[in-house]
Amino acid sequence: MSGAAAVSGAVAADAYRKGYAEATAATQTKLAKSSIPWTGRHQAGIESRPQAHANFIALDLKTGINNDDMLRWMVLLTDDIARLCDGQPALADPEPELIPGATNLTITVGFGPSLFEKLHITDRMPVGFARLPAFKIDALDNSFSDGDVLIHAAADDLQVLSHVTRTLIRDSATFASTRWIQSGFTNAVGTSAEGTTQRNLMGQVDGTDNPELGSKSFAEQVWIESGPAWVVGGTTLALRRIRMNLSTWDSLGRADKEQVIGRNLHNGAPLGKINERDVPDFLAKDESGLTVIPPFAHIRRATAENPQEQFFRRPFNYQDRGATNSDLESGLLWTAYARDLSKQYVPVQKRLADFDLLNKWTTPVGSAVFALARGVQADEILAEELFS
Amino acid sequence: MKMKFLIALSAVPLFVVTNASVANAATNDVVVTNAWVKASEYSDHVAGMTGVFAKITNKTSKTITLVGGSSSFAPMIEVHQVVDGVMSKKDGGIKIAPGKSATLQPGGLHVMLMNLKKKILPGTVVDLKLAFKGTFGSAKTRTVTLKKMIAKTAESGAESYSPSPMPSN
Repeated sequence: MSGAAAVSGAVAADAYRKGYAEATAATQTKLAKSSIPWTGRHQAGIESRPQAHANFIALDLKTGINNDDMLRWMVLLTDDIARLCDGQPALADPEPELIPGATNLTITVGFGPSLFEKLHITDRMPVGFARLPAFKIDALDNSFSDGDVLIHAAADDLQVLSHVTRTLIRDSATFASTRWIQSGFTNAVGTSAEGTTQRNLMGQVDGTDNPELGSKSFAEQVWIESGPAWVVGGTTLALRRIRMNLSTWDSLGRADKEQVIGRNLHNGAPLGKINERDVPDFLAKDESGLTVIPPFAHIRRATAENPQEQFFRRPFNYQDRGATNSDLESGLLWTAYARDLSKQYVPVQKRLADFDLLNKWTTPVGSAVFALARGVQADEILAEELFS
Repeated sequence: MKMKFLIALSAVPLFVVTNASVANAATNDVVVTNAWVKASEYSDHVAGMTGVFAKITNKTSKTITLVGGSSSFAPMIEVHQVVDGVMSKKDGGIKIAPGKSATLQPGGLHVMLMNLKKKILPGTVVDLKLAFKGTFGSAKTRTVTLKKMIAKTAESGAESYSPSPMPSN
């Protein structure tokens, strides 16, 4: 290497580092200021792009907690949500400097069937809301399942989310203890073009067949429009922790992987089609007379058999240490948001549990359902009608 | 038409509160933000006591003094200080210079609610009116009503609400 080249290389590297630092600072400033409105007819954190990081926190009520206590808890949570999602530290935060801004934080609160039972308010459950039936593919771990209360916090900055999580748990400690925390992620802001469907850790484009945010079909699939007032404008959520067996998946050939899901890997187009959003042709056959999308393909089994069997998914990937130190567990914190899970989601899940080749590499290890309260205006308390 | 416009204008506050969620009171002369009450084992029963913390800004051109207040929760409200871990009544109240702010925080200046009539638990919404002396137009006193003041537990602040003050070392 000539001296001149070495110098220009160093200069370039220096310029790159300097430019990167400036760009990073600029991005962070913009990101810190980025916020999602926490007020409105619906809670935030449902009809929006998944943030880079998410924590699902399930809590169980402490002994003797009643509706009056719940209301005081909701006063605290509503105040935390208002401040944190506006990019301000929580009231009486011992480390307020850890909140530089909102970084698109959303905090969504819901209640499990066990809460309604403990407080003797099962008559206030949304229509069709119940624990999921047992599916034969399930290998559920109690430490990732169920829970009285769900707090789902998600943000585009992990350090912000960590402090928010600690704040929310501290302000809940009088009323409930943490049952489990499940952390998930998607790509960072700026990694993919806006509107790109995310990939799961099997490498698949995941979530193509979702209703569009803000569309009529989204509203019809997700938002509850009748029943108890506290949940009109709310929804119900099934959260499933799905462990992936990536070591056997990795050894599968690319064509086989595409057959299992029924979509190609490079852009997620249905087999036999060109673009991700092309409609799958389940009748098309190849020259040997076999269906292009095999009978066992995931998208064939997951496709709605009637218009009712549709719901919204907003999954996050996860990666944790497995059972041993050398074991890395990867998977999906899979979510279904629906007006009525029993009609929209359960029939599909039953079909998939019965016959879906993808089951060979995936195992549901956690499962929970929650009813998510309607959104609030600035002067309201979250879920006030439920506990009054 | 012009008259209507002027009336509308006069209803607009003289300054803008940047974040409505943190302001408990925003009058033309005193602004109170981030007000909270400490919920603890000293406040969870009738006859107990607790402290109130907030940032108070003096928007007038003269020094104002926080001298006390009133609340449906407590018949007795005093302005206190903590010096070397020992809490005592702050004689003469808390003075705030024109345009300056006072921060009431655990381990420092605070408003004390004493002989509680109702228990204060985490999440309890507590009403409080703060009483100030100063020059507020033609008035020499000012009462500021705090909205949405919430009781919270807190881990910070080296102070004790024990009736017998702790020694400083």
